[in-house]
Amino acid sequence: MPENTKTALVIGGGPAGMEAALRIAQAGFHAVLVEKEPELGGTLRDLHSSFPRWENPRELIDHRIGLLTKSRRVTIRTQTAVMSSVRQAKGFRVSLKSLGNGGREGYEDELDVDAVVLATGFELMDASVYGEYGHGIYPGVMTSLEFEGQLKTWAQRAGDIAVDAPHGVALIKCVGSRDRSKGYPYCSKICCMYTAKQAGLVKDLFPDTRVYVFYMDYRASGKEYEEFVRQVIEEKHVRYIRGRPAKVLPEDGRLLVRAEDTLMGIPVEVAVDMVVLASAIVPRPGTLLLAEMFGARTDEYGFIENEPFEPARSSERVFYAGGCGFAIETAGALNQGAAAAAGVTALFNEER
Amino acid sequence: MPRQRVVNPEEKFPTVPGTVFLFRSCTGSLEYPGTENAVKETLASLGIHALMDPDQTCCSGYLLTCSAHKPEVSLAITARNLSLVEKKDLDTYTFCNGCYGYLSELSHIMMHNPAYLQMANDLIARWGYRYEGKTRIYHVQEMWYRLRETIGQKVVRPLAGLKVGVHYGCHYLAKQYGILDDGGYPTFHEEIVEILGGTPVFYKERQLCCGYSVGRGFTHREETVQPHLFKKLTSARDAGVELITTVCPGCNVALDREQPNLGKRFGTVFKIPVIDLSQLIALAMGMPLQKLGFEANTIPLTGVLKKLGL
Repeated sequence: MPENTKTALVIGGGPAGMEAALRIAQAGFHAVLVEKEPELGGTLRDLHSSFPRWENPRELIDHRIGLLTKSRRVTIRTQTAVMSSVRQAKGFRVSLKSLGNGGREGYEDELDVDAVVLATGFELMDASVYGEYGHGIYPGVMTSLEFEGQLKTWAQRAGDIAVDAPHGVALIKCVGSRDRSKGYPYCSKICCMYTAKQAGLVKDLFPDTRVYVFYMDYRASGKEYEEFVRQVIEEKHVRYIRGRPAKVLPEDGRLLVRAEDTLMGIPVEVAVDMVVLASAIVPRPGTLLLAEMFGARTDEYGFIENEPFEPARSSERVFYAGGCGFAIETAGALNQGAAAAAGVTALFNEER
Repeated sequence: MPRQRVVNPEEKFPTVPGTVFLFRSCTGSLEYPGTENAVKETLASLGIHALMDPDQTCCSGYLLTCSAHKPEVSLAITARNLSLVEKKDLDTYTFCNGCYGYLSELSHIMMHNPAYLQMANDLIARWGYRYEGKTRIYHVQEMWYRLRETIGQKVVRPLAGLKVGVHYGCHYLAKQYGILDDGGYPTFHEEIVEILGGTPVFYKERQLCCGYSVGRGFTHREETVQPHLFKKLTSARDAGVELITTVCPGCNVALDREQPNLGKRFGTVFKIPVIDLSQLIALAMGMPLQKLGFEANTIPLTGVLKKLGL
């Protein structure tokens, strides 16, 4: 097979970006994978387990990194940011800047690429906009991503866990999502599943801990998803309470969650040690800058949007995958990464 | 204690007005005349002239809540009262959360539904009034916070670490938009208490509703409101609160007047005096006690005044 010289720039080294870079390389083209953090993996690196199969996300990351580093057509550039881009006749001239790589900090260079894949991921809404839940005020109140870190710490210290086992944990869903008054009218899609996962993990680590999930309703549409949530409720004995908590109050060093159980029609109060907020998923501010840089379409919230009838393409030679388009679970991010790669390779093949 | 405000007071009030229209409150002026005095005196000592109009009536909010009359009537009442202010070309300052909430809500409805505005104007036109929606509606507590530094400089009777538990009141916080602070976890009253030399106490139920609209007047439901108030006041007492402040005469009535009844129902005697934040500010700024009208309070302030050496 003759060597193809076309190159795609993939921005973001999470599951979607890694998948896109890998598939582009496997199709015989070159990929430059840019990641601003020192390591590949994206949000997946912060996660302790996955749904619906309780797998360790680290294994997936290591598997992909293994394939990427072995491929001679992929250039991995960690701790690197895309500074600017100029559209050319058939591609872009982009300027990359090193953010600190063994004395190369601030080093800038230019690169000609034939297509770009945006895979910059998502982040969580600032949960402190809900003063009533006290994020940033009470130490026990954390966002779901912060809680994944807590789960990791617990799992690493599995020997002496009895020391700091919580007596109760409350997980609150739809914090921001589906709340028009806060400007997030959409459903963040993955919170139902990861909240069930986190609740189940707490029960696995500490069977005596009382775990409550406060929900508006749960949306488990996906292969094995409904079974997963039912398993968490029925086998792991997590208490699901339908109702939005009105307030989190401090009491005797613990936290009191006050809510209405709308199925029973009664007010409920549960005392817990930790409150986990499933904050709305929002695009990263940097995504909007990149979208402007490459002329990609964005929606009213700042997520990347596709061109009509082109699921992975946002503009001429600009493809996207993963959380920068909308909230997405790992498996979906991988699919979208592969789809973006298919778009890129189809374009490159046509121009050969 | 978070000191970040949702709306920057300096942006909300780029300049401090020289004259304002003070919207009197039925509950405030009848139940606790000292509140109105304190507001007027404090405004005066901050260099703000307060204008009032004897033609102004009740905001009618409570009657609206109780469905005592058709909502359309309240629109007309609001239009009429605000037209008085507009004639003077001033902004409206209330010292009652109820007046604040209803005036801003009802004027919002009229400003966004031309048909409602027309209907209200048609009605009040019979007596020669006309409402255009020019006057803006504020609560004096916002001005207190805006001028907190000046207030701090004018404190002559520092509160000597008095443990003050504040009560914000739902009709200010529930408005959500345009209010100074985070409706879910407000702290700007606590900041004012600190400036006056008091110790703000974050008692557990500080954001629990006062229960006024359930417990008094048309909808007198003691069995609902008293356990609710018992919970609130118990948490205040347990946290060591010596004085509760409100910014709404309705809240003041509910929290103050109901305490002896709680004693009868639950056998626990509460003795926590409840006054308006404006009264506390005026007290710290050296206003004569006779003018503050603490005699109107059900729970006497003897202990508090003794602590302050008065």
